[in-house]
This record gives sequence, C-alpha cells and structure tokens, in this order.
Amino acid sequence: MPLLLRFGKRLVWSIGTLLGVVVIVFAISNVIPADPAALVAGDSATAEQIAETRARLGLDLPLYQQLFNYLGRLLQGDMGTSIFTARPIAEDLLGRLPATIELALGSMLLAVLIGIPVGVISALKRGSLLDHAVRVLTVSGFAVANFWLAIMLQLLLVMWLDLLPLFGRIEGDAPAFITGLYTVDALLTGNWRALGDALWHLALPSITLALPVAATIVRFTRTGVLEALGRPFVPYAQAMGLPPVIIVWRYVLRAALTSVVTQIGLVTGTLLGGAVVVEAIFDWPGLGGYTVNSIMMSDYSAVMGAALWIAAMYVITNVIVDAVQAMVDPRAAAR
Amino acid sequence: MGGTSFWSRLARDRLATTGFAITVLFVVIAAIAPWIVPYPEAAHEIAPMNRLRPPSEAHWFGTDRLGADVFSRLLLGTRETLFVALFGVGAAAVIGVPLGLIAGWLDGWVSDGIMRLADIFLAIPQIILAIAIAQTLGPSLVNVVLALGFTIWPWFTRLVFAETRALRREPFIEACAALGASPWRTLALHVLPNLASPLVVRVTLSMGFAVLTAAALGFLGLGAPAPSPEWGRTIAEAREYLPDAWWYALAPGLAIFIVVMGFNMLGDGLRDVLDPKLRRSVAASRAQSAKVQEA
Repeated sequence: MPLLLRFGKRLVWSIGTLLGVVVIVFAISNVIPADPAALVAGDSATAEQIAETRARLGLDLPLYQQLFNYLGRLLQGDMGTSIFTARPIAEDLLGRLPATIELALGSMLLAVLIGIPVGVISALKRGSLLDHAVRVLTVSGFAVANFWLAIMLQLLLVMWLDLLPLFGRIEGDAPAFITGLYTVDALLTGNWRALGDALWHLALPSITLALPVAATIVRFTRTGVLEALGRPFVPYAQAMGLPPVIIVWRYVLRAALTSVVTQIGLVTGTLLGGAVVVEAIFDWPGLGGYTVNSIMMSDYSAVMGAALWIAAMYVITNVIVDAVQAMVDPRAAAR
Repeated sequence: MGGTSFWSRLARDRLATTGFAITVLFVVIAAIAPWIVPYPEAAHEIAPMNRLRPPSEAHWFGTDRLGADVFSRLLLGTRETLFVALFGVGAAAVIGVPLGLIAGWLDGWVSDGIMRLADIFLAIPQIILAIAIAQTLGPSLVNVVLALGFTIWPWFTRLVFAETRALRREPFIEACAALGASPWRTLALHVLPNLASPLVVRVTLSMGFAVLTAAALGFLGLGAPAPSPEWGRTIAEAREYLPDAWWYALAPGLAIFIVVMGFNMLGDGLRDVLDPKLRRSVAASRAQSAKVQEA
C-alpha cells in the first residue's frame, strides 16, 4: 500500500509539473517579437486580413484567456494546427514519437551495456592505468559537443570508411506497423531484412547520444561500487567463502545500482535534449527534428506541443524509474 | 599530507592543475586574441583566391569558405565563447542564488513555490528551453546569455536551498537572530560566505555546460549572426564542405572540447579539494577495494 500511495503521489506531482511546463512554454512563446497572425496570413495580407486571422486564431484575447483556452483544448487532445505542415500538431507528434522512443531506448541500452561493466571494472582496478584511462574517457564524454561528435562520426564512418548510412531511419520498406519502433516490429514479424536495415541506421545516432550517458553511468557505477565495497556485508561475504566474482557482480553491484538507477532517470533529460540536435543532423524523423524545424519556422504552437511532449517523456520516465527504484531498493520506498 | 593550504592541495591534484592551466590559457587568449593571431583581418576580410586550403605552415588549420585563416578565427572566437559562458552562468547565479537563499530560509508556500518552479524548469530538457528562449528573443550574443541564465538558474537554487536549510539551525546563525540581525543581513553576511566553496564548484562546472549549450545554439543559427567567428556557427558552416575540407569542421569542435574539458577538470578538482567529507570517504573506499583485490 505505501508503495501504491507513493506512486500515486508521484503521479499527481508529475501532472502538476507538466501543467507548470505548459505555462512556462506558453509564457516564453508569448514574448515573441514576431506576429504569428501576420505569419499565417502571409506576406501580401492587408492589415484587416491580419486582424481577421488574429481573431480567428484567438490571438486578440487577453493572455490568461489564451492560456485557459489552450489548456482546455489540450485536455481534449487538441494541440492546435501546425502552421507549416497544416496538420493537427498532436497527429504530427504522435507519428514521430516512435522514432524518438526507438532512438532513446537504443542509446540508453547501449550506454547501460557499456557503462555498467566498465564502471565496475574501473572501481575494482582503482588507481590502475585502466582506471585512469576510463576516468579520462568519462570526463571527455561530458566535454564533447554532441552535434560536432555526430558530424565527425559521419565524416569518419560514413564519408571516409563507408560503413554506415549518412542519415534516415530505414532504406527499404518499413516493417508492418505494430509499435512503430522499426527494430521491435521487425523482430515481431520476423522481418530480418528490415531488422538489419533499421539497426544499421540506428547505430550512428545511438552511438552519438549514448556517449555522455555512458560516461554518467560509468561514473556513478564506479562511485557506487567503491562505496558498496566499504560496507560490512563485503567482509561478511568473504568470511562465508563466497568467490569474489559472486560478491562483486551479485551483491556489490546490486547495492551500487540504486544510485545508478536514479541517474538513468535523470540522464534521460540529457538524452532527450541531445536527441533534438542529433535528430536534426541525422534527419531522424522524431520529435527532436520536428522541434528544430518548428523553431526555425517560428511555428510556436508546434514548438509548445513538442516541448510539452518531450517534457512529458522525461517526467514519465522518472515516475517509472522511481517505481523501479522502490522495487529494487526497499529503503527507497521507506523514504 | 604536506601543506594543507588550498593552493598546495589543488597543485597536488593532476586533473585540477591541468584544468586550471587550460582555463587560464583560454582566458589569456580571449584577452589578447586580436593582437596575437597570425591573420587579424580573418574576422571580417575575405580572400576568395585562398578558400578551403588544407592545413599548411602558413595556415595551421587551413582556410575556410571565404579564404580566412581557420586558426585565427578560432582564437578570435574564444572571446565570444568565454563571454557568453561567463555572463550566462553569472546571470543564472544572479537569479538562482537569491531564490535559493529565500527558499532555504523561509518555510511555507513561498519556499515551496520557488522550489516547485525550479523543478518545473528542470523538467524541460535544458537545450530545448535554451533554444525556445533564444529563438523567441532573436539571434544575438546577449540573448544567448539570457537563454543560458534562464536555463541554468535552477541548479543554483537547488544547491543554495539545500545548503541554507542545513545552516539555518546552526548555533552561529541562531546567534545572529538573537543579536537582532535582520534575515537579509544574516543571509548576506553569514549564510552566503559559507556557501562560497560549493558555489565556486557549481560555477566552474556550469561554465562547461554553458560553453556546450552556447555552441549548440550557435550551430542552430541562434547565436551571434555572421560573420561572427563563434565556434558552433563555424561548425555549421563547415558541415557543407565535408568530407573535403575536414579541418574546417574539426578545429572548432576540438576547441570546444578542450575548453569544456578544462572547466570540468578544474571543477572536479575543486570539489575534491573543497569538500573534506568527500576526501575521507574516497580514502576509506580505496582501502576497502584494496582488500577485496587481495581476496
């Protein structure tokens, strides 16, 4: 029950946070120097036509009323119409959501698969040459500009070595739609050609995004393992005659993972933020690329919608991480 | 343990020393760039005959699409990068620190409200927030500074809030109240000085983040307009000339990497030096990990 209560509280709190995000994004998009009504009405529009458009879009109302109207429409799933794609924004975003989820999951998986073993080994070999090399690499991982890394990887692996595709999500036909994640759909339908194709396209953007996340995971795994090694259960397990491999990979790692799990939730923000620029570079048809396009075209409702969805993904991830944490670590549930 | 002063401890940390050296180097470059660059006219003059030349003795990092020396523009761009990062982080501190002090000192809805607001700002991935603000205000250096300030402030608020809460019940702070000091006086003269160490660490680490974010904004065309030698913008320009003119895109990215590396190493080193609690726990776990190794 306390677990359920805690989860419920987090959920309510998350909805409050998202409401706050709407208000902030709304506020930002309303200090704009450009007049969206003039943009919609077009270059050759007369003053009356612009005024008419303004009234039609509800842009002549007081700000708080515009905000309430926006919130009301949001509750009905209506995020407005994109000025440039001329389609409902919610539909645009929904169509692009799977690509971003696939990219985020792929990068996260890659980062975890690299980060945790490297972090553990680095902690066990503390002070060794390997440990120093890992530390330098993790510090470097935080210092690289992701858009530059993306371009350099394109230069090296695509333009020079011709190993991977330059951009896009798939070359041939997409697999039959089930989840919208090409790799998962291809697996489910046994479409091996599409699976290979999708993974081949996923590789480069995932590597780019995974780097800073892997660095974070290495760092926290390393610290966590070092801390856990100092706890009394370690000499106890040794006294019981457990082999060091079991002590480290089973007990020490589990104790160390609590802080790592929290970090995984938090770095999702870095990952989603990074996806914005990286998607634009790899022409990945996700939310990030959509955001950049909308921003460049001053499509404010689309920007608002996209920012809200990305923030929602982040908040939801953290609710899930919190629940996982409570299940893995009983102490977290008690807190 | 030899000397225990701040400087001697910092000097013993190799990462921190390197970070410090890099930071000082770039500050000096920023200060005297116009007088030391090999081609001072590279910032504005064009030499079409000379465009996209590979690295040579005359041009260490080659020339760009307009025939200007890439290395010279790189050094000139240091100024903008450090300016934006310093003032961006400064703006964040100016917003974040007072809010954190107030939230940490008071109880009730004001405090809750400030911290909720910080949480909400942190729920939006920072680069999106920065892009939205910079786009809204229009492309210019000053607007990048504002975008950074509004993006980074919650980190300062959270830090100052937690530290102020911890200090609030300390006897020396209660003594201030007993002596009749106003809350403002207590916060400014007795709480704030005690936050100097964590704030210095936070500022240093935020500088690295600010350089990266500013470069990303420049890359998206939201920074200073052309012909600014800003590094992010240069990478965006250079992208069109790949794979042939690889030096053009490589150089500014390396510059960003080295500067951010410098700030991060310095920040990590400062944290180790300034936080005695951390030093002790690391020493303890080092001993323990040695024991497991032996087993």
